[in-house]
Amino acid sequence: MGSPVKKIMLCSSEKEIFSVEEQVMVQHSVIINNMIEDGSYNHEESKIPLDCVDSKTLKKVIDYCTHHTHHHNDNQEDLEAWDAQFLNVDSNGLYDLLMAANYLEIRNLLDLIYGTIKNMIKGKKIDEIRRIFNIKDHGFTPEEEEQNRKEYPHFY
Amino acid sequence: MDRFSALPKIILHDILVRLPVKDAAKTSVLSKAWNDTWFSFPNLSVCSEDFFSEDDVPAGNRQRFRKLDILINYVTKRLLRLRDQGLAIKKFKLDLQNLDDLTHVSHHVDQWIQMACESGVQVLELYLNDDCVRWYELPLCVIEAKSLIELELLGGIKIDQELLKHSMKFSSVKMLFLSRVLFTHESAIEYLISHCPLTERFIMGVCYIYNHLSSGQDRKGGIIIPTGFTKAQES
Repeated sequence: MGSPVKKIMLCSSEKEIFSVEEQVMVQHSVIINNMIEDGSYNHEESKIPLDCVDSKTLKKVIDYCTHHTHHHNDNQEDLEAWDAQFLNVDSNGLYDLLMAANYLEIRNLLDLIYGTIKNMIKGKKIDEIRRIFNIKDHGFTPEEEEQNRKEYPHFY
Repeated sequence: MDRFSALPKIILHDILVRLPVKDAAKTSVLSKAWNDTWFSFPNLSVCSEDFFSEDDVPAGNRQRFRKLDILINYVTKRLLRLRDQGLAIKKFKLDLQNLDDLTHVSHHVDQWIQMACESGVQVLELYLNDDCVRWYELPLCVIEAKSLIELELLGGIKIDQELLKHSMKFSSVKMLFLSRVLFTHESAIEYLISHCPLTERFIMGVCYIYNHLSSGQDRKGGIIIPTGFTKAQES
């Protein structure tokens, strides 16, 4: 008989506890993998505090890792479609995911997010990018802004 | 400030590294914060084609000089900003292939390479116009640069025999790619190979050797090493 699935506890910034298959997080997060490997995580008592990750974001991160652990044999198209749906969030949501993926060092999720951010910039005009990133105050003086527009008209 | 602008520079640089050069440059005018990010971005990649094409502005034209000035100012500004902030210039890629006359630029190129070498450059890629008439002489600082890991010299560059006699030679270079490079003496190639202690990959395309016997200027004569000749460094 197989042993029961090992679980670990993750604690969000709101102190909400999430129980996740250990293997799922170990496979994806460099940080958690290190904690398990060096024995700093005690399965009886420990929970991993993630003070900079809120519950909503943590749930999404766990969804991502779980899906990619159990569906890694799916065909590429299905996985990409799933990823696209997964990252269909507003810029705030994307920012939260980026910070969480960076903190937990989830490389494939980071690459996915970077790819999305790249598409938010690539081939777009400045005003459009400012709108996408919600840049309301660009911080340039009117003179600097005018100078930029004169110097790089093709960007605008 | 918006949330993305407030991201740590290292994350923003990870984003810039993934963007095509033109799109990355665009972020410099997005906001003050992105501008700071851009001027602390340690990869500088410049291609003269992005500034002007050979067809639209004929050589010697006033318009061409003006565009050349913009290019020169741009590169100088980027490098100076990095240096003044005490930041490393990790990667410097200079592609001036469509500049048929380096006369007005070569002293700037000297300065730029000097600055990069003094600021810890790890990857240096130089692509210059190779009309086989004018050659840009590789400055000594490149050979002395301790931080240099990858060196690609593709076209229009001359490696002088005297340069290789210097005691410091490519001390940490792991990857060396030479193509359309002129050596002033046949023995320079062998000499170069034997003085790259850490080289793991050495790729040599068609290169030229100065033929002392032929009269007149630098000629394509002498030995031409066939493209694709690859030699793994023996330890």
